This record gives sequence, structure tokens and C-alpha cells, in this order.
Amino acid sequence: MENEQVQPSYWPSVMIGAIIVSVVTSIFGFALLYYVAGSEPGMGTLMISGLTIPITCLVGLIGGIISTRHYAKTYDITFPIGKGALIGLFTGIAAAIMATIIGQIWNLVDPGLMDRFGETIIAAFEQAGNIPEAQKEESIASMMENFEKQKTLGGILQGLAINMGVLGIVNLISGMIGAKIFASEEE
Amino acid sequence: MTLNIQAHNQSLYILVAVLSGFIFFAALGPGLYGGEIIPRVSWQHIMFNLLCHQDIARSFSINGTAMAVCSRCIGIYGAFVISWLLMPLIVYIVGNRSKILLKLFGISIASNLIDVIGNLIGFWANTSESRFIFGVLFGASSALLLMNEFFKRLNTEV
Repeated sequence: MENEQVQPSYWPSVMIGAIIVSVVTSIFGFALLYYVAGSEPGMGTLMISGLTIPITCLVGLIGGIISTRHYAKTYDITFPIGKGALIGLFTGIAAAIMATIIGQIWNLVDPGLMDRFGETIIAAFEQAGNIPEAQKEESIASMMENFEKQKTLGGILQGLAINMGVLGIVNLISGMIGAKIFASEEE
Repeated sequence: MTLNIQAHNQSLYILVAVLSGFIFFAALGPGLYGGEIIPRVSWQHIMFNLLCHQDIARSFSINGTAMAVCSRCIGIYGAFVISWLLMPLIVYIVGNRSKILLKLFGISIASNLIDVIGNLIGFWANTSESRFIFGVLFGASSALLLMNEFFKRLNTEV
């Protein structure tokens, strides 16, 4: 331990990665909500094929790469992939918390958005002709229950916990990749 | 001459194997457990709503229910976990080729970007199958890029 150098804190890099991921994913998320909420109910609403935003895929998992790159380049240091994994994990967790806060703030700006989104989705589902009536009613009841639940504190915390888990895992992996590319100890 | 495999960071390897396996099975969506037809409100769909557009028209389905992620993303998660589990075997067969794997990783990102941009500006229309293949390329190359951090092939003269 006596030869081990004290490395600078990685938290500023974690916060930078988390802010970028949470802001970008929130923008795409709101774009999708407004598109669905403002469209005429129909199977097209469920399929949203008119709105092809394929770059939303993978945006959520670049946080680990951004944070590890920022940490390595800012301090010109190398570190093992285990540390990259830790930085990525914290970035994912912080991004989930920030995205939830952004969502709740936007909920104050436009409190009816989630209701309009839910009503459009349910109306579109009611029009679906290929589902048996009994199953349709059961599914709609379940959807309404879920939309109501998402407005409660318990629902918000449950969503936060799920997002912290999944963003934490994928950014843990991207943190390892970032450490391998930008901070490898190999020659 | 005999070939030996030396393992490193074993705890992290096992942790990532378990977590990425969980992510992959969750990404397969509610259809895996019996065909529940509730778009966008299953716990699997909520899990990936910050990671994927989840467009039903661009997703594969199981038991008539769309997966929780699009065809490109399921290719990424599936190929990543399979490549991760096969890592010791791949190291044993092909050895440690960091520079080639880094190039493969770069090519996989570039090919996905070209596919997305070409589709967006109307040069071509990609399909679920083509998006899946590009996703597989990215997922596999991501896992293999990290290969020599976990396993190294040692050539031992006898």
C-alpha cells in the first residue's frame, strides 16, 4: 500500500457523464411522450413507427465511457477496469436519479402530459381488433392501474429503483470498455 | 508445447456474467413468460424505457408480445452475454489479439452509425434482421474487447 499513489476523485467525471446521459435520455423520452400524447389513437400509436428515433438506443449506456474518458484524460492517469466498472456503475445510478428529478420537474411544468399519454395509449388499445374482449378489458384495467401507480410516491420510487439497476448495470459494462480504451495500464 | 489459460479479475467476470444474463432475459420481454399483451407497462418495458425507443414495429416478438427492446438492442444484449460466457474458449482458440479486437469494436460502432444514418436519410431501408445483425456485431465486439482483462493464453514449452 505504501507505493500506491493517491488518485484524484472520480466524482466530477461521474457527475458529467450522469448529466449528459440524463439530459439526453430525458429529451428523447419527452419527445416520445409528446408524440404519443398528441397523436390520434390507433394501432399506429402503439407501434409509433412514424417516430423513428433509433439513436435513443445506446445513448443511455454511453455514460460509463464518457466518465472514464473524462477521468483518464483530465488527470492523465491509467486505472484498472475494475475502477472503470465502479465509475460506470455510479454514473448509471446518478443518471437514473437525475432523470427522475428532471421527470418530476417537468411534471410540474406540464402536469397533464402523463394523463394524455395514458389516455391515448388506452384508447389505441381499445381500438385494437385482434385481441379477445375479455383479455382486452383485463389488459386495459392493468394499464390504468399501472399509469395511476406511476403517479404515486411508491410508483416513482419503484421506477427510480428499476432505472438505477438497469442504468447501473449497462454503464458498469461501458465503464469497463471506457477504462480499457482510454485508461489501459497495458503498453 | 501446451496452452494454458490464466484467469484475472474473476469476481468481476462472474458478476458481469450474472448481470448481463439478467439484462438479456429481461430484454426478451413479458412474452417469454406466457404472452401477456400489455405494451409499454410491463416491468421489462419500464426497465428499458431510458435505453431503447421500444418501437413495436422494430422489435421481435415472443408469444405474440413484443420484446422489451428493439431488434438491434436484443442483438447487442444477446451477443454480449454469449460472447462473455464463451470468453475462455475464444481466448483458448484465438489467443489475445487486443489491437484486432479494438479495430473490430470501432468497425461495429461505425457500421451501426452508417446503418442508422443511411436509413434516416433514405439511402436504404434497414430491416429487423439487418438491425439485429449489426447489434450482434456491436455486442460481441464489446465483450471480446475486454477479453484479455479476464483471460490470457500462455504458451508453455514442455
